[in-house]
Amino acid sequence: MNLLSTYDKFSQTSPATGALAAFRQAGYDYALNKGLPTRKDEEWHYTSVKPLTEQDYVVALVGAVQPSHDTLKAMKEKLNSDFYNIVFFNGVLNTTLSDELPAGFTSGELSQAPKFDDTFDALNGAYQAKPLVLTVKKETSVDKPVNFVFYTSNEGGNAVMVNPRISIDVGARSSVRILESHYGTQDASYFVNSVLDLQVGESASVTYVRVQSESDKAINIGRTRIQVAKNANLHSLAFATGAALSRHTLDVVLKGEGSNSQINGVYAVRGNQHVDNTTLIDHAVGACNTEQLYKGILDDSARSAFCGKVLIAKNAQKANSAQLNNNLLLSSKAEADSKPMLEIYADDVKAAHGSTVGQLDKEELFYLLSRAIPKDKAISMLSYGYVSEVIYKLGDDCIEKWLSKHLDAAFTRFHVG
Amino acid sequence: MLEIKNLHARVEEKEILKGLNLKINAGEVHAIMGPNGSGKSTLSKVLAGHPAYEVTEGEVLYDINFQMKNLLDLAPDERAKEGIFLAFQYPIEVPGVSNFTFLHTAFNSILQHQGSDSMSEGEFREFLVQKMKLVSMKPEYLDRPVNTGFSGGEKKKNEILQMAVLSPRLALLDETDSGLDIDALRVVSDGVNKLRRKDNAIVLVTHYQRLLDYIKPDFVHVLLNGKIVETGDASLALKLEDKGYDWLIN
Repeated sequence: MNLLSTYDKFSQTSPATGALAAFRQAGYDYALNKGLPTRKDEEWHYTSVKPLTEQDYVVALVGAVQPSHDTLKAMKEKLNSDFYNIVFFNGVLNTTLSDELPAGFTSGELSQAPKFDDTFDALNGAYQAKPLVLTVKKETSVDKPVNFVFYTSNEGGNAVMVNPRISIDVGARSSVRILESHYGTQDASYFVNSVLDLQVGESASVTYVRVQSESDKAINIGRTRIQVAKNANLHSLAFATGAALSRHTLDVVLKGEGSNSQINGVYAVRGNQHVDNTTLIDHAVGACNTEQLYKGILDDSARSAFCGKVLIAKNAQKANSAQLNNNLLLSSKAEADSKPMLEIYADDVKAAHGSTVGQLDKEELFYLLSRAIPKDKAISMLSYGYVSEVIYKLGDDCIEKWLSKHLDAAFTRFHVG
Repeated sequence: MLEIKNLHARVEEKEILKGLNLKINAGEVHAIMGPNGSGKSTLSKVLAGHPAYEVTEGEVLYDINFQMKNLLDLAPDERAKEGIFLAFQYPIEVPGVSNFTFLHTAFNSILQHQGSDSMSEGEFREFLVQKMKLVSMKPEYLDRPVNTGFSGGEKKKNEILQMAVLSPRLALLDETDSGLDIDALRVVSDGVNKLRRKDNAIVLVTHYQRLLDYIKPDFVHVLLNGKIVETGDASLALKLEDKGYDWLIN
């Protein structure tokens, strides 16, 4: 696999010993052995990762390239004073731009077993120089969201590959908001392969928002694994407007009874963009509520895939699950594939799912036109309204404002009308 | 201001308007009455430019900057910018857009068309609160999605509010009285009366004479089978109330 061709060079530049070395080697072996998925793999039926083989991606080595003046400026624009910003350039922590982690957060060493469950997870593991392993002390309430900002660029001339890996263990009864946001230099080709593991402790309350607003030529493959303990609250939102090809695989495993989770998504794509959201909600125990809403807008020849599996285990009685995927097509060439799946082994559960693919309501459009609103503006307003509902479910002003800005920016690039 | 000549229009394959003629001058209020299916709503939709209605014959001339231009050449939003306003019989719910944003965007597109500066959100909000008093609407309706979850009466008030804000030259009120109780009818009619000016015209499309007790028309037309068959003053409406439409059919 060509993505592993820079492994030796990487190992020499960033030597590792002990657990990290074993972790890397296991990742390398797994990825080499398994290879890239193809569309014959059920989980990758709608998304081809062939573009990853059509270009050589070089792993970004620690300290090899510094951000240029323009890149630094662009990175600073992504920072938000309402957040704690932890900033990475080509996958490497930029201490100059980053804030201190808030009180209650401690940073540790990798303790994860060298076990991987897919090629991208393993590839990410193979290229770990300094994974971020964080613990949030129990009963910590953080005043501002913590934003992990990943900015990727091609300063060295090569198409780079970056492999961010973060693990966050949120202690019992803590309340935190975690943001993971991905950006890059416009028109730059690069490959981001991120992994984030999140443990939501007992009775903790966690908001997790992943923003994918990469360059038009980038590929972003993201993995988020969330484990939710007893009586915890989770609000997860996957927001994607960028990249040529993007895939977010989200696993939410409910490990303790009495938790409530909202697992939502927004995507707005145009041109030839392809966006894939593959989710698994695993009711491993009973008496948990999950509500999932993914809404997307597709213009031009864009494509989307939503594959959402809800699994309710045999003993997970009183599980309550609702899942919905809605797609709005603004062009006859756009295509949305939606595949909700329910697998239920318990008998006393409530589970509903559905999906829709449709066009803008013609009467709503005419109503706006009849009020002197030009067609392109009217389409944009209606489309915005269509997806913004998902953002406002957060009920968190400062994150909502931030996301609205991202959505505005995406909409100005739609070719509506 | 507006001259409709031999207008024929169809929806899908069905011809509804079959040679309609009508002339409206600034400062006038016209009422168009007629039984169900006579083409009343079609006329207002055609004038506003609804895409489901196809004009097959005839023309509609409208005064734009002192020149009579063919209204049918303009897209719906362009017609609205030139001062055509349709108050919908069934106002549309737009769940994703707030009433404030809707009105603000509409108002600013008209300002922009007229070459004026846009109004800021703050200024516009003050301006709106004044206009809302005209139709006794509570300010909280501004931040709710357009018409979503509004009662029938509130929806109709919201239409008249839009009319007050956009200040059209030609307002077409399609069955604005339908579904209103007597109090709401009074509020809505008062609102419309306050918007009557020498330089604008109002067309009331209605089934019932009772609206005309509140808004006095200068002309009453009877629309039957896609054509205007009778024109008179306000007394014609009373005669229709009394005798129905049968006497006009033969």
